[in-house]
Amino acid sequence: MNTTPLQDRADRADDDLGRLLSRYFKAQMPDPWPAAPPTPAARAEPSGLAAPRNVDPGRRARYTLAVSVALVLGTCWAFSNGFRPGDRPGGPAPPHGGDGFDLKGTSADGKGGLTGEIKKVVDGPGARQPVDDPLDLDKGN
Amino acid sequence: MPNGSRNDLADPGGSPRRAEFESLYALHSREVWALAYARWMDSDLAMDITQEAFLRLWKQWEAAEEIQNPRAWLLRVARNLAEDYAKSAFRRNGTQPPELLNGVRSSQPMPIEKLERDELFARLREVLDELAPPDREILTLRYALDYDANAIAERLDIAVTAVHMRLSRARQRLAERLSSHGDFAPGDNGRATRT
Repeated sequence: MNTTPLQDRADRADDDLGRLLSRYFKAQMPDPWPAAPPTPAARAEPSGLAAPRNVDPGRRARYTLAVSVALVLGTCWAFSNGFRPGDRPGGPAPPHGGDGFDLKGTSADGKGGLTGEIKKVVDGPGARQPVDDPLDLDKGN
Repeated sequence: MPNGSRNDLADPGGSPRRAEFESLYALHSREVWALAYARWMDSDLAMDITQEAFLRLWKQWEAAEEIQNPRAWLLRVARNLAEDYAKSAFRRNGTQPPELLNGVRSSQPMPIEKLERDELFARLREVLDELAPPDREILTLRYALDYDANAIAERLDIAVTAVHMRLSRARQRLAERLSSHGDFAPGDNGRATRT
């Protein structure tokens, strides 16, 4: 098919314009092409493996509370009727042969128990007498 | 082509997600850049938009969002970013306009060919900027990315014949503007010349 000179001129203009545009766009494109942007290091790998590592933040606090409550309960139990020094190997024998401390003095004469023992010490011969003559540094005593 | 779904992360060794990210970047970053460049005719801004679009893709992955078609997603995000840029304070206040920065000369003498080329490119950029965005887009796809008509048709979701027509019209409008400014005439050896 024959082409007219006008058509030839138009085609050549298209070619020239195409070449110009190619050169222009190639010059505009960064060279070398930049690498992929760095992804945040703190957020290492967003994979499904991260989910199991996501622990409950209140777990530690609940664990501490549970241990504390157990410690308090254990201490209360030990100081009520559960603590028996005589049961411990090498420990002192109970003062009245009972199973534990008798703070109220439940023996027949009413002097037994820990209260009775304390009275003996306080009222005994070695008991400390009140001091009538206070220390006088001027007298030299 | 990787589809970007979380099911692709089965490989426990190395960094499969980063590798997939870089693979997507190698495949689509130039196209994303071309889209942004066609909008603003600014190479650095287009690269910023490109990198931001890819970073947003990474964030989507972090948020466990499944992306079926990363390419379409990236192009959509880049388009939105380019449009958002029009409303941004940076766009309104700006730094120095490119025309002013183009006037800053190096102390080194420049070859005359380079000066002529830079002048011609500056004029071409100006005229491209005056074209409608669809014209700039199709010219960028054709001449920046060397896409053929089929690839452009697939990218723009139009018929191949429509691609030829739109491309021809865009070229014609560009040539008319360049000619009217006396910046372009078909040369004897296929070179663009100043008249």
